[in-house]
Amino acid sequence: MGFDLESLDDMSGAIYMGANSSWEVTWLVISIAVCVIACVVGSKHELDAYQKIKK
Amino acid sequence: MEEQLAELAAKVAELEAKAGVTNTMFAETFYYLTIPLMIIIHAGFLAYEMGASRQKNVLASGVKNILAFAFMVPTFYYFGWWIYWGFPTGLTFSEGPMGISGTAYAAFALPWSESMGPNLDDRSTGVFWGAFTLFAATTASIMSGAVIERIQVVGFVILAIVLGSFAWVVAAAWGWHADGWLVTKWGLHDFGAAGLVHAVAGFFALGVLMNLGPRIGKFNADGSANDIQGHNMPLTLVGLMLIIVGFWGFLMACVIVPGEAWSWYGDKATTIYGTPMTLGALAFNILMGFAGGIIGAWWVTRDPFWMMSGALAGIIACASGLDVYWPPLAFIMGAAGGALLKPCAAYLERRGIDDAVGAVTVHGTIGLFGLIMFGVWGAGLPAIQGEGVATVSLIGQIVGAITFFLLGFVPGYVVSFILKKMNLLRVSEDAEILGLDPTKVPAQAYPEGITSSATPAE
Repeated sequence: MGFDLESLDDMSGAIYMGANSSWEVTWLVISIAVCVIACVVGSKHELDAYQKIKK
Repeated sequence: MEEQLAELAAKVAELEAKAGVTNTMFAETFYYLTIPLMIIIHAGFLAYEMGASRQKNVLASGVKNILAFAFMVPTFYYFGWWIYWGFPTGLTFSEGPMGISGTAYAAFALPWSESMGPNLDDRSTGVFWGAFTLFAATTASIMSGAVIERIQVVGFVILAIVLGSFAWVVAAAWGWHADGWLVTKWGLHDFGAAGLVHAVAGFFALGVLMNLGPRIGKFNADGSANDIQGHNMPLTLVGLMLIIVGFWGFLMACVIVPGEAWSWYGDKATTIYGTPMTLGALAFNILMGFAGGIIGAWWVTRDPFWMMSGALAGIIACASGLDVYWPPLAFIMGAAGGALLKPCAAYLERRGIDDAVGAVTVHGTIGLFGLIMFGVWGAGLPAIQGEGVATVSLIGQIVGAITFFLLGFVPGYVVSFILKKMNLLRVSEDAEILGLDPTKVPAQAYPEGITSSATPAE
């Protein structure tokens, strides 16, 4: 992560942090995992709520 | 042949002049349009605060919020804008690395300067002043929500002026200006003002809350807290979404367009520090931070109030580096910001702080979180143009965070303490119990009535 630049004039093309490194994939995978786990945990919470009011 | 060359040169000169006019009109329009966009932030804060108030205080909360905006405009004209240009190197007018003294910088910002009125030779000052005035009004509105239902109007207006036309302006001079000492010496990078707007305003509010005290009925004798519900959660949620809409104008105004005499480059947009960027970066990262914040808060709370506050927190968490975040990382930062909200707010509540809308946490805590974390992710980015300049570092961002905390908290605490001693801070107990609307507002929010909810322990 981070930047290795002598000056701002060296900035060109992809200027985001971690460009062209394995960090891109790492953060992409983690962000997808956050979405998936949030849905799984959210679904459990919802089903538990239905269960609680079941007569 | 010579005649043809002269004709061609004249044609090129004419085209250049036309291109210059187009660029200048574009630049003027770009900043001009950020102003109404940022006014949407205030429509949002107005709805948010009124919804979070109980029925008996709805209009009083609205009056307070509207007045903060109104007083911010003239006071920022009288001295706020001048402070920004006068004090980048500290609290003196000394020269910075650009070789210009604060006095020289600020000469055009004096309220009697020719630049501070309609002027055909200056097409930028008015629109920049307008955008900065709206930044200032945003800081006041951030504090405004925290103190609803028990603060006196004039005391609040004085606090809003101190925050909006002084405290955050000093932070901006130090952390945004090309000669700002936090930038030139410590390599601070706070593109979207997570620290110098949000954290300053959030911790200013904390200082005020410590002197203002909680609303009657908020805490029980054993120190446990009651939940005082606002009268209209849907209004609060819509207000929060409007604040998000306005954020686009706020962050757009943090961009320096190319091609003008005051631009950093002739051919590319930059941040206020002169680091190259694109509007596409904002589109990616604002949306990803926004989404992450909602999902993070949903995961932890399941509560729509905290989910929409999480949207704000998500953007604030990555605001410092919106120009260079990798979007999935902006999403993760947003999710972390959203998830942190409720535990941080509960921590404050356990210490007897009654922050009615969670402003200290959303803006203060998350602002500092985002500012500091950028020191990890963005380390090595040159802070400004030039050879051998300071670069972004964790230490530099922490120095900025401490500075912004103090610039918010200390004036907030000291001025509210003085107002308290002068009996200008808190409304009377009778007025608070009866309600501020029936006590002093010559209008009714709901003349046909709605059922009031009972407040615990009041």
